[in-house]
Amino acid sequence: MILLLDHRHDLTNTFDGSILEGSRLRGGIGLVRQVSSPKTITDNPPVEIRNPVTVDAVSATKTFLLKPGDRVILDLASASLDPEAFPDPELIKLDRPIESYLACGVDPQESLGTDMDRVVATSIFKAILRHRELKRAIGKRVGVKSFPTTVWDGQVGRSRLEFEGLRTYLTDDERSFQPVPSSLRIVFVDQM
Amino acid sequence: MNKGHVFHKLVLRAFPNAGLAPNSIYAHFPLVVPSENMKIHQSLGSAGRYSWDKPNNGKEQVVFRSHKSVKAILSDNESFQRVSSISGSAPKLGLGDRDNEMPSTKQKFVYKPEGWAKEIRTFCLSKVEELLRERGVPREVNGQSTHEVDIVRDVISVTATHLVSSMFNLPLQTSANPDGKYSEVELFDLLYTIFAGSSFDPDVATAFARREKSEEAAQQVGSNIVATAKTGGLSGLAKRIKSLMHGSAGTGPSLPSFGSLLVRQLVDMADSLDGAVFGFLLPMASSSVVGYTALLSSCLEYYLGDGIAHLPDLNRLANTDTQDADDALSR
Repeated sequence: MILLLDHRHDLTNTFDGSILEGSRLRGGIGLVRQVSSPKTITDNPPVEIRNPVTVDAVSATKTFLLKPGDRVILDLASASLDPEAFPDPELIKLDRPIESYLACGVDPQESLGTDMDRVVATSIFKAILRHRELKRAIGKRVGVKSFPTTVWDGQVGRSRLEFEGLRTYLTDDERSFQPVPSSLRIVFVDQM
Repeated sequence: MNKGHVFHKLVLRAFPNAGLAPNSIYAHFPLVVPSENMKIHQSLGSAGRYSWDKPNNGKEQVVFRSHKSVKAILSDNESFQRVSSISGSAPKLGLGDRDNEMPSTKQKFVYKPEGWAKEIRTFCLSKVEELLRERGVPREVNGQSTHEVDIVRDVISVTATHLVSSMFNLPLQTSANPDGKYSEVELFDLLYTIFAGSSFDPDVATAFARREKSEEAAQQVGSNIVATAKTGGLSGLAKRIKSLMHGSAGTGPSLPSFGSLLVRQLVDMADSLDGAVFGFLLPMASSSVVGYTALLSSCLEYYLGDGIAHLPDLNRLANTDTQDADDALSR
C-alpha cells in the first residue's frame, strides 16, 4: 500500500476523505431493491451472473431487462472498487470527486441524510483516533473476522477474489454469520 | 416460528434456483397441498406470513456490481424500491407504502437545528471518551501502560446507539433517563435484529426466521414507544413525547435541539404516532445505528491493518481541533 497524502489542501476534508476512502476499501454493504417498473440496465461485472439477455463478448457487458417484482442486489463493495469510477481503486486518494462515493454506510433510502451520516462518522472516528499508539490487540480472538460472501448455488458455491465483493462477518461467539463486524479489540495509550 | 417445522431449510438449499420465495408455502409445508395448507393456516391465523405464489413465477434476482449501474439504480428511487427480505409478507413496519415518499421528503423531515454538527461532535466526543475510559482494561505492553478495549462492541456500537436514541427519544436507560426500558446492549441488539430483517443476506434458508424475528423486535420496541407516549407515564421519554405532541418543545439530556422536534416532524409526516414509529423512526434508527457501526469498524480495521501507514497522519489530524474544522464540516 502506497501512502498518498499529496492532496492535503484542507485538514478537515482530508480527515473526512480518509473515512470515505477507508469505508470504500473495506466497508462493503449489499442493498436490496425491488423493481417496480420495467427497466433496462447495462452492467459490466467482473464475474459471471445469471439472467443475461445480451452478452457482448468483447467487453463482457450484459444488459438486463428487469420486470416489476424482480429483485436487484447492489454489491456496493465491488462497485466501490470499480476502476472506471475510482482509478487505482486499491489506493487511498483524497481528491476523488465526492459524488462517486455510493453510500456512507447507511442505505440512502433510510439514512438521516448524507451530511448527517458524514458528520457522525467523522466525529466518532476522530474521537477514537485522537488517542496515541492505536493498534490492534495481540492474540487470537482479535480483529474483524470475515469471509467473502457467497451465494449457495446448489452443489457449487460462487467463489470470489478477496475484497472484490461483499464480506460476511463472524458473530462475536463465532457460531454464525452476520452482515456487519461484531468485534475488534484494540489497545491505545490514554490521551490524558 | 413455523411451530417447529424446518422443512424449508432442506427445500430451499436443495433447490436454490427453483424460484421459491424464502417464505413460500411450497418450501415450508411441502407435504400438504396448498389448498389444504390455506385452510390450516387460515384457522391458525398465520396465512399472511407465507407466500402462496407458485414456484418459478418468473421473478428474477440480479446482482449489479459495476459502479455505473449501481449509481443509476440508487438514484432511481421510483423504479427501484427498498424491500423487506421477504416479499409478500405484510409490511408491518409500514415501509411498503412509504418507500415512495421517503427520498423526496427526507431532506425536509430530518430536522437539523442550527449548529447541529457541533452538537453531534460534542456528543460523540464525550461519549467515546467516557466509554474508552470506562471499558478500557489497563494492559502493560512492553513496559508501556496501555488500555485494551473492544472498539466495535463496547465503543462504536454503544456510541451510535446513544446518539440515535437521543435523536429519536428511544427508551434507552441512561443516567439522565433511568426509567428507560432497554439497556444499551439490549437496544442495540433489538435495532440490529430489526435491521437484519430487511438487509441483504445470502443465506436463503434463514431469511424467513430473520424476518420473523425482525418483526417481533420491531413490534416490541415500537409498541413500547407508542404505549409510553400514549399513557403519558412518568418517564422522561413520555414527558418529552407528550410535550412535543402538545406543542411545547421538551429538551433531551445531551442533544437538546434534536429529539422532540425531530419526532414531531415524523409524527406530522405520518399523521399518526403509530405511523411515525413503525414507518420512519424504527427503520431509520435501526439502519443508522447498524450502518454507523459497520462503516466505522470496517474503516478502523483498514487503518489498523493494510492502511496503517496513514495512521500517524490521521492521529495528528484528529488532534487538530479548530473552529474552522467544525464550520467546514457543517457546511
